Amino acid sequence: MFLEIDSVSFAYPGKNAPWILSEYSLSMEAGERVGIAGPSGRGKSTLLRIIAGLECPLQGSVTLDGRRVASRDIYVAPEDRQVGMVFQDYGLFPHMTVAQNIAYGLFRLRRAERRQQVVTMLELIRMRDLAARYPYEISGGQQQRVAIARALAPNPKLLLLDEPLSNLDATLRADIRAEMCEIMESSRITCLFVSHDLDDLAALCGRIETL
Amino acid sequence: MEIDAPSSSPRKAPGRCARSGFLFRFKFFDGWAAIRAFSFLCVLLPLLMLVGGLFSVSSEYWEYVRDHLLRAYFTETLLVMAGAGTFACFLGVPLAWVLSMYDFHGKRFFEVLLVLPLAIPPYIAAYTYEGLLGYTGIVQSFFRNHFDLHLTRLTTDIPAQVWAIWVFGVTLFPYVYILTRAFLRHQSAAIFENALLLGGGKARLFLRVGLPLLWPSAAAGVILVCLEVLNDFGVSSYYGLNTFTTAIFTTWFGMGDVNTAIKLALILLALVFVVLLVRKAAHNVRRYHIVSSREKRLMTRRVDAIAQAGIILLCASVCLVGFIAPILQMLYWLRLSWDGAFTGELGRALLYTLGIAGGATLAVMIAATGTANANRLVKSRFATLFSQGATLGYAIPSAVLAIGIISFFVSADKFLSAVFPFSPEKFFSMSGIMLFFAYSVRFFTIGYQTVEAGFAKIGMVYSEASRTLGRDVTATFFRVDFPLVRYALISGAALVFIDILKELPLGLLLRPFNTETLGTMTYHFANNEALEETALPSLCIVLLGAAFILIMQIWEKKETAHVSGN
Repeated sequence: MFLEIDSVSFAYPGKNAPWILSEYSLSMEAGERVGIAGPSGRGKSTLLRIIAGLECPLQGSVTLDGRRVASRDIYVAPEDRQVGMVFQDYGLFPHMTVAQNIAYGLFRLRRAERRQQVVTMLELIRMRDLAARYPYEISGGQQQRVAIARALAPNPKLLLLDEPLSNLDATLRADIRAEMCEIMESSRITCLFVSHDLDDLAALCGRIETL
Repeated sequence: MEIDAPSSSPRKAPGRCARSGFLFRFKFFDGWAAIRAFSFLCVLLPLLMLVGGLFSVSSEYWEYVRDHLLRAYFTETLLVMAGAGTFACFLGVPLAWVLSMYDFHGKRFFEVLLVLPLAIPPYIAAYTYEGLLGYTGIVQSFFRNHFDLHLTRLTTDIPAQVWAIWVFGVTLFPYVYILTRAFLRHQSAAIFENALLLGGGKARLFLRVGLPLLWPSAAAGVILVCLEVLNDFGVSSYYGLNTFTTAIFTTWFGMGDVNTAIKLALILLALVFVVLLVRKAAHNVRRYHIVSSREKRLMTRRVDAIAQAGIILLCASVCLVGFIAPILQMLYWLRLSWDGAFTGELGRALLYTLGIAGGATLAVMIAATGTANANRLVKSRFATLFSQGATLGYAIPSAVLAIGIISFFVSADKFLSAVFPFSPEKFFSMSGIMLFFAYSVRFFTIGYQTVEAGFAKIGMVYSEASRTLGRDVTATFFRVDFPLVRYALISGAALVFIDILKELPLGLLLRPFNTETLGTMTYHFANNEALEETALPSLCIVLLGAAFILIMQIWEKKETAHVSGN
C-alpha cells in the first residue's frame, strides 16, 4: 500500500474534548485518486492535516510509501514528508507573485532547473502571462490553480486537497473541475481529496470513501 | 449532492496517550521553545528573589511603617489610582464615542492628536502644569496683569492628590480612548441603527446601548491607567504624595532599609494582583456578541453645526490640556534656558538613552517574537504558562522589579567573584546590564502582545503551506511569517521604545554611577527646582515619543492593508 492510515484517532487538546477522528483506517494505492466525503465537523480536514504532519494522531499510525511517518513514538515533520497540500482557502503567500509562490517549494533545485519547473507549472495551469501578478490581483479560480501548481511543483509523493472547490461559485466550479481532472491526469500523482460535495468527488476521484 | 449530518453526538476522548511521553514532547523543544523558556526565566528570577526577601528579618523601621504609615500608603495610593482611572474614563469614553459615531470637521486631525498625550510622561506633565499654573506661570500672570485677579489659591488650596489625578487623567486617558475606539470600530452598524430607529435620541443610544457594549473595553483601558499609576514615582514624588512607590524609594535611599523596601514592594505587588484579578473578572463577565453573520461596520454620521461645534470644542480642549499646553510650556522654558541648554551632559544622556532603549527594544522584540512563534507552533499547557508568566513584567511596578533585579545581580556578582577571583568587582551591579535587563523584562509584555496580535491576524495557513512545501520552522519564519508580520513588529518596537523613553523609576534605581538617562536628568532638574532646565530633555522624550506614535499609526494602517493584500 502507498498510503496506510491505521486506526487513527484524534481530539484537540482540552478536558473532555470530543474525538474528531476515532480509529479511522484507510488505504491507498500509488497513483490512485481517492475522495473522502462527509458532512462538516466529521474530521475530513483533520485527517488531511494528520497525513501532512500538521497534527499528530493520539492513537494509530500513518505509513507513507513504506515509511512510518506518524505513530505513538514517531513524528516526521511536514517538511520531511514530501506531501503537497492545497488548502481550502489556498494559503497563497500574499507578499509573493504567482511565480514566486510556485517557486517557493523548489529551493533544493538549481536556479535554472527551478526556473524551468516554474515555467512547466505555469504552462500546466495556463497562467504563464500572469506569473508576475500577486494573489490578490487574480481571480478565485486562478488562485486555486496557482495553489495546485505550487503544491505539485516540488513533485510530492502525495497530493492532499482540502475542499478545493468550496470557495468557487457554481459556474466556475464546473470549469475548474474539468481543468483539475486534466492537471491531475497529466501529473499522474496520487491524490486524496476531501469534500462535503459528492458531485465534486465523483468528477475528480476514482474511489469515494465516507467519514 | 450534500450528505446529512450524523445524528449521533461526538464521543468523548479518553485520556491522552501518544503525546504524553517526555521524549515525544522533547521533539518540539527547538530554538523557538528555548527563547520562550529563557524569557520566562528572566521574568521569574527577579520575582523569586523578592519572595526570598519576604522571609528576611524585620527591622525596627518596618514595625514603625506597619503601625503608623502603611494605612496612609494604602489610602493615598488607592485614592490617586481610583481618581485617575475614573477621570481617564470620563475623558476617554466620550471621545471614543463621538469619534466613532460622528463625522465632523478636523476629525482626522483629532484622531492623530488625541493619541499624542501618551508621548508625555506624567511626571513631565506635572512639571509643566506647575509651570503653567504656578504663581509665575502664564495663567496666574495673565489674570493678575490683565484683570487684577489673584489666583494663588489655585495651587495652594487644591490638594496635591487632585493635581496628581488631573495629570494622570490628561496624559493617560488615551489608553481608555484607544481600546474603546478599537472596540467600537468593529461593532455592527445594525445594533446602533436599530436603536436609533426605535427612538430615544442620541443620549439614550449612548447610555442604553453604547455603554453596556463598550464598558469591558473601557474597563481594560482603566486597568492600564491604574497599573501606570501604581508604577509611578515621578508624579507622586513631585507632589509629595505618600504612595507605595515613593515609600519604597524613601525606605531604600533615605533609610537604607532594603528589607522594609522589599516588604513594601511585595504589598504593592499584591495590590497589582488585585487589580489584575479585577481585570480578569471584568473580562469574564457577560460580554455581548453580535448574533448576525451579515454584519455591516459602523458608519459615522454627519451632525448639525451646533453639535459639531460642541464635539470640536471637547476634542480641542482635551488636546490642549493633554498635549499642546505642556508642549508650549516646555517650548517657553526652552526659550528661557536656551543659552545653557545644549550641554555635553545632555548629549551623553541622549546617546545613552537612545542606545539602551534601542538595545532593550531589540532584545524585547527578539524574545517576544521567539516566544510568540513558539506558542503558536506548539500549543500546550506549558506554552500557556510560559506566555502568561513572561507577560507578568509589565504588571510589576518598576520599583518592585528593580529590587528583585538588584537582589539577583548582587547575588550574581558574588557568585562571579567566588568562581572567578580575577573577574571585575561588581561587574553586573555597576554596569548598565541591570538597567538593560530591567527594561527588557518590564516591557516584554508590550512587545509580546503586539507580535501575538500580528501572528493572530495572519493565522497559521501560510506557515502550514510553507511547511508542506518543504521549509522547516525557521525558514518558514524568515521567508513567510516575518514579511507578513513585519509591520506589527515595527509597531511593537515603536511602542516598547516609547515606553522605555518615558520610564523613570527604573532609570533612577538601576542606572550606573555618573550616568543619566533623559528621564533621570529631567527628574533631577525638577527636583532641584530648575524647571526651565527640564525643557530640552523633556522635549527630546516627548518629541521622540510623538514621532514613534505617528510612525506606529502609519504602519498600523499599512499592516492592515498588507495582510488583507490590498
